[in-house]
Amino acid sequence: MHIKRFVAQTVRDAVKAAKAEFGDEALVLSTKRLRNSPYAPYEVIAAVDYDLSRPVDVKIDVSEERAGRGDEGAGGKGGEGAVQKELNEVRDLKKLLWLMLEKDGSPLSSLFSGIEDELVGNGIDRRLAKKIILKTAESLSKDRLEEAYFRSMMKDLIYEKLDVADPLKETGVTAFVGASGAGKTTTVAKLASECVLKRKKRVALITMDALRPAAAEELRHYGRALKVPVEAALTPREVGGHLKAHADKDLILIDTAGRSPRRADEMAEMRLLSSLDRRIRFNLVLSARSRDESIYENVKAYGALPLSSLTFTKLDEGDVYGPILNAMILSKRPVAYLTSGRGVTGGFEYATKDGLLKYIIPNQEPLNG
Amino acid sequence: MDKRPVVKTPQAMGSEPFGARAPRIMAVSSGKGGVGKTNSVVNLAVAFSRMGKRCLVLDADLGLGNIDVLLGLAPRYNVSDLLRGERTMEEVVVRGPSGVMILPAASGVYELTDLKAEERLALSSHLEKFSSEIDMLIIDTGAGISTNVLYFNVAAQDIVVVVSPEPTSITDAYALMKVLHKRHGERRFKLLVNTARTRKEGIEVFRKISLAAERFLNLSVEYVGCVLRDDDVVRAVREQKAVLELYPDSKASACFMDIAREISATPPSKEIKGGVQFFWRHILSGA
Repeated sequence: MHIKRFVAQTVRDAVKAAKAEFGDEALVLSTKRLRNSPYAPYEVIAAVDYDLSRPVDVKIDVSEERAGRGDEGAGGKGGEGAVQKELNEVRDLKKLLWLMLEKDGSPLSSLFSGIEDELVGNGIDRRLAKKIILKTAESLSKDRLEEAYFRSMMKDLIYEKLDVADPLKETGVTAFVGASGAGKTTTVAKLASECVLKRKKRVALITMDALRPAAAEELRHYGRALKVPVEAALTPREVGGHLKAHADKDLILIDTAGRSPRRADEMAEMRLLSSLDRRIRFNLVLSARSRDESIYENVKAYGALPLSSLTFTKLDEGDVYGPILNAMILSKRPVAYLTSGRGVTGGFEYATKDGLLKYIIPNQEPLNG
Repeated sequence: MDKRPVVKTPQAMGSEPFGARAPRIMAVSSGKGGVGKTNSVVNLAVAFSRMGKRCLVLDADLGLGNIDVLLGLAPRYNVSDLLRGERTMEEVVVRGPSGVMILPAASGVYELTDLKAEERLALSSHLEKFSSEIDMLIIDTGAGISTNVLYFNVAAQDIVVVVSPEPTSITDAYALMKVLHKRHGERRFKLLVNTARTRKEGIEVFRKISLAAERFLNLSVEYVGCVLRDDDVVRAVREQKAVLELYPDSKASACFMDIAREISATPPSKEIKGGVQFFWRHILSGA
């Protein structure tokens, strides 16, 4: 609001001056006759609020909130972004309270804990499940708290949280890292096949898996079939040499030896690789069958590398896919590829948000039929 | 504290436990700093105390608290010890003049300037447990329109805005009400005019604000009174005592008593229905 004093010979003139400056919306707050001011004895204090000329939505509803959520960080005007954040905070508390109420046996609790158990049954970390429910609840107004609507909102929320990427869309070098048996070599082979046959890219493969000659041989075998050069490198330096030699390729895929996340020396070698050539991006390969602890261990251990994305393998062997979401959230990295089966052709898909959603929360039927 | 069993059926979720009365909760804000909000909070608390009500003052200017300084208190612990889980309410709350209880803020703790949801919940939970010991909870929210300020206002039953006759104070008070209204749907405010030269000036300031608020924002602003400009207040502040204690017969003291009586006589702007977390229940039922 702007507030200003206008003085003039008559009240009418003062009001006119106020309207001239503030427009027709000017509101007269007070008029006063001044002493000791013979030439301009009348004072009018006027006010105006320019914001009111723009359409303003006063009611807080879900659609405004969803728009705000998408705006986070990018935010329209700075002021609105900040206030949206405040609004979110109040909502945060509101729903935390709801959950607290649930502990005392409120009827909301059975809905929430049922859904929570379902998410956990799908392999989603319980803490993450709670958070998802909380955030879904906060965007509901209390009279829309019925199951079907809640589930639909929750699905949307999870969908929004999903992050997918394709590091090999353009050109580049990607090293595939992960624990032994995660499926790196198979992934590299499948990817090479995809890029050469479907995308017609020029590809070279480098294998660092010196300890397992069978793996190196396996890759060479695929290379021959795809007519793609396969180099072996024992050390990061050698990798550098190969990268130079194949500078003409669109894509270079590096298969690394499976490492235990607990072995610091093995991790150090990867860090050295990363520092030798900044172009190398790392993709962490995880098996969809892994237990959470091993996923967390791997994400933490490889976190020091510039991980750009994740791959999940053996999708055909797992029955729940919640760990995909767990890993994505924990590592804050997008999922790039999903593989299943051991064959080189087939069993390969680019991760999409829709696809991932179907894996992660396949059962969307309400609990009560 | 004896906790009576509460029947928890969906209908009864909103009922108060038999016999218990939740304290009245008032948030005091100003928009602009330096208009005398904290001083008003302190003296109003003393005034309510004199009326026989047990008051707890929450210094919610959490990182830059002043209530203890105004009263010459040197509390051992403060809200940050409470939020870290290291001390209980009983250990942190100190007693000030006329039996007023004070939950002191920290001083110079930046992290408290914007509480996270869990911290607010923890705070409300502590307050809730303490609620049977108090009749009034007065929250000194701190200046500005930060998240904390907005939050404590939304959570209270009465929003008291302290304003002084200067135009800048008036615009900032308006701005505070505007944010609270546009984003949190608050519609009713109580206005206290501090450092008014005369009662007439107090009324004029109230009229200006209420006209603008009603016209532009469609709000209702109630006048709870003015505190006349009084040198005794300045002296009391220097002595680190409440003016109601040090100069109970001064003009300002009489004003504070009048305002306290006025507030007590009118019902709270928002009803809080009973339940588990008394402090925030209206958020669940209303917002």
